[in-house]
Amino acid sequence: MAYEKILEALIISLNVSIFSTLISLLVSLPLGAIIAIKIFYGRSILIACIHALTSIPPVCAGLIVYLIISRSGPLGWTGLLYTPTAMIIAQSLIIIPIMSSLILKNIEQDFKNYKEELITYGASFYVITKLLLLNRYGLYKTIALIGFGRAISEYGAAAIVGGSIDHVTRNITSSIALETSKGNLDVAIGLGGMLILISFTLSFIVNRKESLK
Amino acid sequence: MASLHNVLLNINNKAILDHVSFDIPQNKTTVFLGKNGSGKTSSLRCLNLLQKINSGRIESFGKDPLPMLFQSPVIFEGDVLYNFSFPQKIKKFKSNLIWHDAFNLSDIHQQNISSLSGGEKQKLFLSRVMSLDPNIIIMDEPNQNLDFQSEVKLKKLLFEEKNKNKTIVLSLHDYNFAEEIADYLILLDQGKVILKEQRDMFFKKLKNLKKM
Repeated sequence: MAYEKILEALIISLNVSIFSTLISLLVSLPLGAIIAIKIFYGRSILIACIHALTSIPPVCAGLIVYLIISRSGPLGWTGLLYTPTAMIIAQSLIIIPIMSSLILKNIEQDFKNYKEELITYGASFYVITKLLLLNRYGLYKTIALIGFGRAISEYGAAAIVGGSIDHVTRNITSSIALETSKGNLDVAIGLGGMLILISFTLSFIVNRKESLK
Repeated sequence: MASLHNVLLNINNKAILDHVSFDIPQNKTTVFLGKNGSGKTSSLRCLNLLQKINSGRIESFGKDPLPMLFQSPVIFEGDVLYNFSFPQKIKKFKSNLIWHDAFNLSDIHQQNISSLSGGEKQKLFLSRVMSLDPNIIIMDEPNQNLDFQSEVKLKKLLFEEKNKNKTIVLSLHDYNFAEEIADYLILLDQGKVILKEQRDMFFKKLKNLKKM
């Protein structure tokens, strides 16, 4: 029984976190690159907002998504509340600023260093963006791992918009909270151990990549 | 002929170029000399329309900036071949592999750029810009990081370009190298032109300057 619960929570967590990481990466890549390269009105304010949002408390991100997709919210008609999709949206809201700010920082530095030479070769804005994005290909794996680690280990946002529904949205973190409150410490410890193992493995991979550079 | 007329360039309230004027003769080799921070790189950047100035006038080689050898050129993650050939992916330039072959770049095509020494990277950067077969050659410290043999090769290659009557503009620290290759020299110090002369006259006047 305990084994099945752990496996189910793990699958839900992996599904939601992998999707939110992929979506966030797809959003963050062009967002980070364009902000890094393009000069436009309000750019510095946007950069400050992105940096500030990197530390958004997950419960607040969850609350924002809840207010938008709850029945009385502007997107209430979508019926997304208490679904894995809602959890993906909330997690994406947490990790998009983190990924974007990392991408922005790196591309901005490259742009500063390489812009002039690329212009002398006749590169357009589009070509410069493409070249600089492709240049940091290795970094995106590290950024994706950082985002995934943040997504899979957060509790507040997924719990608020997911509702911890059995077999549907009960991921590892909400299962730990629930099983602990019910006194099922063996299941909670098993889930906690698994989460720690995932976090440590990711941290090891990220640090190893950084030390190899 | 390209030229700078009374150019003032201030960065952070410091005069990088202080009302500088000079001409770059066509089909000749011009060398900028001077200490670190004297304004050599800024002069090249102004000539190549890469630097906005505070006042004065620039007559450049054309309407757009030309490919040139920068002091810190573009290094993309990947192998030597990718780093050598990416400009051709941006725009179809007439390809010239003379420098590439002279520096034996084919031997290190598959090597990752991060495993190259400073000298090997410099040979790659020199070959890359020369592979575009420029009519006007602009190089900022082309001999940096090169060993003796590579520097000899660089001089030989530059002389071959010079013999094709190309306009060459270099910034150098090496006075012997400058004396060998230059037709016209410009000495800068603290953003000011100290001396600008044809080669023979330049070195005569330089000796007098040193005596003073």
